[in-house]
Amino acid sequence: MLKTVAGNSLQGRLLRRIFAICIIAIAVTFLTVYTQMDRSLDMLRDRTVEEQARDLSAYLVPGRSVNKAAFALPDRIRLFYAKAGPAYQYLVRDKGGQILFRSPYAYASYFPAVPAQDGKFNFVGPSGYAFKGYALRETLGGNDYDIEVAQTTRAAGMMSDQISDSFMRHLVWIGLPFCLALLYIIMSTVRRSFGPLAAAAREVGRVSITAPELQVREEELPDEIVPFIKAINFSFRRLAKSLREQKELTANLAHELRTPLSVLKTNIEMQGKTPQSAKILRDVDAMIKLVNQMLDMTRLEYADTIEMKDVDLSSILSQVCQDLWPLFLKAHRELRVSGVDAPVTVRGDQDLIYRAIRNVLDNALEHSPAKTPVEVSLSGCAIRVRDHGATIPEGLREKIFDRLQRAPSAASRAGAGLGLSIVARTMEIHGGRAGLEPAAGEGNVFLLDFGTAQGRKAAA
Amino acid sequence: MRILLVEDNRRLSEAVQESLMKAGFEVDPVHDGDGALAAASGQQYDAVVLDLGLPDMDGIEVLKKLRARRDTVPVLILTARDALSDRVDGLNKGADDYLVKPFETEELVARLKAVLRRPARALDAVLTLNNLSFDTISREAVVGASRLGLSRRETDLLEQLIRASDKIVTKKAIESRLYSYEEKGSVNSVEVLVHRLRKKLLAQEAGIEIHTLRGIGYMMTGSKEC
Ligand SMILES: Nc1ncnc2c1ncn2[C@@H]1O[C@H](COP(=O)(O)OP(=O)(O)O)[C@@H](O)[C@H]1O
Ligand SMILES: [Mg+2]
Repeated sequence: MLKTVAGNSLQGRLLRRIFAICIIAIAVTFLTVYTQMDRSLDMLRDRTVEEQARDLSAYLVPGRSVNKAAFALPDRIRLFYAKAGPAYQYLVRDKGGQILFRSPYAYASYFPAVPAQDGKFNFVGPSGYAFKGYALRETLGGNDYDIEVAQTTRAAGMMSDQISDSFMRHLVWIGLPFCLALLYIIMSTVRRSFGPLAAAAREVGRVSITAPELQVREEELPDEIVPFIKAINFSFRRLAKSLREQKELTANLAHELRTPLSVLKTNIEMQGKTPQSAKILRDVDAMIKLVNQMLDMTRLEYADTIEMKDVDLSSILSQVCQDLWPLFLKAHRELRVSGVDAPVTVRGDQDLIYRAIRNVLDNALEHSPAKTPVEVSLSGCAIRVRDHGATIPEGLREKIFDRLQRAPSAASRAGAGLGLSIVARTMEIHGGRAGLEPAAGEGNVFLLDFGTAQGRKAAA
Repeated sequence: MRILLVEDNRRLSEAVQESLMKAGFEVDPVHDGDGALAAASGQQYDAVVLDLGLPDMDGIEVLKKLRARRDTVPVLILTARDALSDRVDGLNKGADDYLVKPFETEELVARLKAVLRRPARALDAVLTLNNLSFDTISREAVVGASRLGLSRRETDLLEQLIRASDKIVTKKAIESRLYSYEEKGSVNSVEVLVHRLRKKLLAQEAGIEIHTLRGIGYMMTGSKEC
């Protein structure tokens, strides 16, 4: 399977970048809105003094005497200016600069006698507060009057602070769910878009060397991935080809080696039975055994190319027993088999299983004393081979399954110590276990357990 | 007894030919599939020893072609292929026996003799093994001049074992041949039957042994001493 290196995931990288971009975009938007709002608040403040001036101008009316204007402020407005204290001020002067009307707290001396062209003015009041003001020229009955309104910037600032506070609160309440929704949508969109990639990865993992079509399906994949999959498929094809060639080579090698060994053996046998020829024959047999075991080991090296099928453990065991029985008969040894009446299905390679059992049975025949029987049984998915030889000491029980490991007592016998390592490896490949237990009384029990998980007993 | 030996490796062919001739067979060696088919159609052989890896065609093809033209000559496959599937395939395609290289000459001769004992064609065949002969028509088993006096089931068992002499006959095969479905209840009935047959053969000094592979089946062989 494909492994994701932390921080190296395309999806993660993309998500991180999109998130960063989103956060920057949101921040920029927020800042823009905020400054924009501040500016409009400023304008609002400006307009406020301007409007106040205009408001007030409406109440400037011609007076009873000529050249005298009257200021008919409603009580409501008069009260406002009275209550606001120095924060809001106004005054009205005539052309000569004479103050005609004023709010109670107006800092009259700070107001410009002659207003600027645009009407705007600023001053700092006696207590240090800054003031912003506006002067409006009004003509009434041929006379010009200046209506001047001032207001502390603090009042204006306070107002804008309040507004921006509530704006922020709104922003959080509206913005947070919006951001979360955005996050979710981005994440699910990215996930969805990467779906085909993950599917392709699963597909690549699913393809096994032994599958008949060693190919990842290219349909339904996004165009960007297809070149990768094509490349993978190409190397899969090459791999399959070279594995096939390796396997064939091994098989051919088996053939090529067995035939000359047959010639050798037949020719020696034709010399007639002499002590000398018997000795040579034993050596040839040892060599044949070694060649066979080496071929088995080569096959086990290419475990990936082994095709697992449903096989009947019971009939394989029965076959091994039938094939080896003549050797037992020749040695006047008894072979007892049990548990092979009903089929027991496991997933595996029947030739590998056959030879694993055979190796154990060969050992029982070879390494246990004459006249003693050997018992073979199948129960569940476990095969047991029990002999009545000397019990293998505890310290050796694990070791003899290693390559080239033999008990000192076996030194005089033919064999290289490969048999049980082949057995152990075969069991490993089948998800099972090879083990050795002391038998009750004297002897050994070799266990080939194919595991309860993979076995299911079929009805006979 | 004339044997057709089909083996492409000249050295092995020569060696096998020599050892078979020593054992009293006449041997015609050929080295490819076409040669084998030509030889087999020109002459009636008693048995064919067939290698599977031939230069021009697979030995299994030769076997299939032989069987297709209704040639029932016993065929013993001799091959370097030791896979179970190859063996099953060979036997299914009509081979009579299967021997994996490298083999013992003694083993080859014994198997060949066993194969030759099985009369596939002869209707009036009398099967013999050591002192025992069994007439497949009259269904009578005779040792020397005296009849064995077997029951019907014992006779059936004897026939099954002698036809497959030197080969294992499974208990299952015996049961399905001897007993109808309902009768299979008694588990050790085959054992009892074998025991009785063995005793009768021994009493008459037939020179026959019935070996037991406990849990699997039985094999009939001629005793070595005879
Ligand atoms: N049934 C047995 N009884 C006693 N010793 C055994 C038995 N099976 C295996 N052994 C010991 O385990 C060793 C390793 O066995 P194996 O790997 O088959 O190698 P080899 O048979 O070629 O020596 C043998 O040499 C022998 O000492
Ligand atoms: Mg061994």
